[in-house]
Amino acid sequence: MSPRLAASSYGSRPAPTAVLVRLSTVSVVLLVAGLGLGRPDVVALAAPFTVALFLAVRRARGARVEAELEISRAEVVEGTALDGTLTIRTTGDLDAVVVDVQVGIGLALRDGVRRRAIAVRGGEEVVVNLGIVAARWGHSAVGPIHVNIVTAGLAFAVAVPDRPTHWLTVLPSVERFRSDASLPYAVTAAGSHRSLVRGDGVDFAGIRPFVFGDRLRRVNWRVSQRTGSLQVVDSFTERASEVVVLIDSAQDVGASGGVGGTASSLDAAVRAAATVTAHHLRRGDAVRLVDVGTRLRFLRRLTGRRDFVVACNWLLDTRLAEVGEAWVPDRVAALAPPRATVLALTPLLDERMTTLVARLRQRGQPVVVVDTLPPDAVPRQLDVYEALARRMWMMERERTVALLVESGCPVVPWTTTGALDRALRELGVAALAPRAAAR
Amino acid sequence: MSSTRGPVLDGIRARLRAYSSRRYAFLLGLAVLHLSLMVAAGWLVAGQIGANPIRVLVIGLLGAVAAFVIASPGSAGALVFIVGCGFFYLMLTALETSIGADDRMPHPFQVLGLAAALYLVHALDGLREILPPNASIDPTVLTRWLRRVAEALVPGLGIGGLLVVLPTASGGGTFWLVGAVALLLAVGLPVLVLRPRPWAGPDDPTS
Repeated sequence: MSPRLAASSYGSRPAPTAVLVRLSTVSVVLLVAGLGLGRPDVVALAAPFTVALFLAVRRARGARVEAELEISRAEVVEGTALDGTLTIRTTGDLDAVVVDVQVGIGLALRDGVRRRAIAVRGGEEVVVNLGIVAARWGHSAVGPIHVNIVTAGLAFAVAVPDRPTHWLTVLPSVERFRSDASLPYAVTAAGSHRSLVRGDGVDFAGIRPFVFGDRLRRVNWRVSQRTGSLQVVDSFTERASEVVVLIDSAQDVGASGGVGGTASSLDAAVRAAATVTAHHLRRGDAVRLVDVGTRLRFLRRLTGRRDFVVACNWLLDTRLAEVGEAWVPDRVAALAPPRATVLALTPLLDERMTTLVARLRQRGQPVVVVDTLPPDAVPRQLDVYEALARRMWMMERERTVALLVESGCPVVPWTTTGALDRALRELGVAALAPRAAAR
Repeated sequence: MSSTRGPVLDGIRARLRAYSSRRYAFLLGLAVLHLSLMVAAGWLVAGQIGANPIRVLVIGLLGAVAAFVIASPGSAGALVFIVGCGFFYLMLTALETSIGADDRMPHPFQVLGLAAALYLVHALDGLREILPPNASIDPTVLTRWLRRVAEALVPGLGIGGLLVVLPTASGGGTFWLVGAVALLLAVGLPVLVLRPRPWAGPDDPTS
């Protein structure tokens, strides 16, 4: 059984409702009029109301209600269901319990029903499964939950205070991404990427003469016999690399339909950042996360799998912010170490982001741009002038992409993770290619 | 994807689709039943007078209140309608009696029918008030509501029938006795329930 995170209970006695007031008012008015005028037929009109009043008061005497709300998990991944239950215990025979569940933006109700009216028998315990599903990453709220309980012919209600709001952390979902592409530059001591440094490793680099200190198992006896001197197999070392993930949160374009629905540009960026971070931390690389939205945020250098939780929690605060430090491309470029590979997750709508990518490429930094603009973000039903404006905008966008590609920066859409793998391979090949040097 | 006719038409169409769902159809059915009961009660009340202008006036006034009750269940409209029906019933029967039309006194079944209709108007108003729109409704709530209505209506109509029939047989003694006890209950029970009890907290088991 999962641990109970949050629970709150309340017990109360029934209080009169407007129905009781109506029963008594109608009874008194008709009875006074009937008795005053000596009209049995008018008293007969009041009879059902008076009987109902008597029965309601008699029934409500023993009724007591306890309501308890439990939410078992505080941290869930997108797409998973929450164990949220509302338990109602009663000693009386209740007529109806109306539960009204309010959920935050990132949460959804499984069957889409926010309100439900249920009946509870005397002495039984009813457990209402709230049926909440975490639909979108972020900090989301469950509640307040309104519980309205009526009894004794709807003449009495149990005043249950609103259940308090519980905050939940919904972590972004991580897609399956396994890439064996080596990053262009390896910077730290140990890892899984082939570096240009020669030493202990697996990848063959060449044959060279034996020098003092070489291990005997590296001696290539066949070549040594042919050449007459000791020759050893030389190899490239395997080292870890460093990845800087730039998240462009200045715009959130497109509809956000949760984990199974359509993804906005910010949804795609956050999920892609989580996926890429998980992959590289698993491979032993170091990852830096930089949020270049309206404000500038960055996270310390992450190494190791345990830091993935830190990265996910940091990603949850990625949102459209109206206030914050204004950033300039040079300031952000300074945050990226010189030999780190930069993954820019951007819908390519902000000119500053394009400038930043160009500035990084000028420095010789390997950059991959992941285009997070969703396909449905571009309007379709347009009049003549809007269609013309859209064509001009598309042409400008294609030109921007072409310039980025020309500068050696692959631009891939975040549709499947395979495209990113292909782009990383292209970067690795480009880094090994001979280049002109200025003398 | 929005159609070429514009988002306003799409919104109206979506709203109509939502209203035509089964849940809304049920609530609409309840409202129609509520209105039918109010029409029946108004018809029984207005039938007590032979003069057409007064009948039209009564139907118009009760109809306006009924429309308000349908639009806003749980408001004071139901109380106004029920008391209004009782008032007009009293006035119209008294008017007919005063002009010597004693043969037009209501039949006992008419009185009991009016009593049943008024009580059902009250009970349906309470039900419509607690059932929120776009809610999932457990059928047990409805069966329990029906049982509660029957528990009050059957003995109430039995007592009412006796009251209408017996005065001529017992010389009015039963009428006064039952009426006095009912008045005592109608005044005493709410006073007992609503009296201030500052010493009893919400969780006091002895209260």
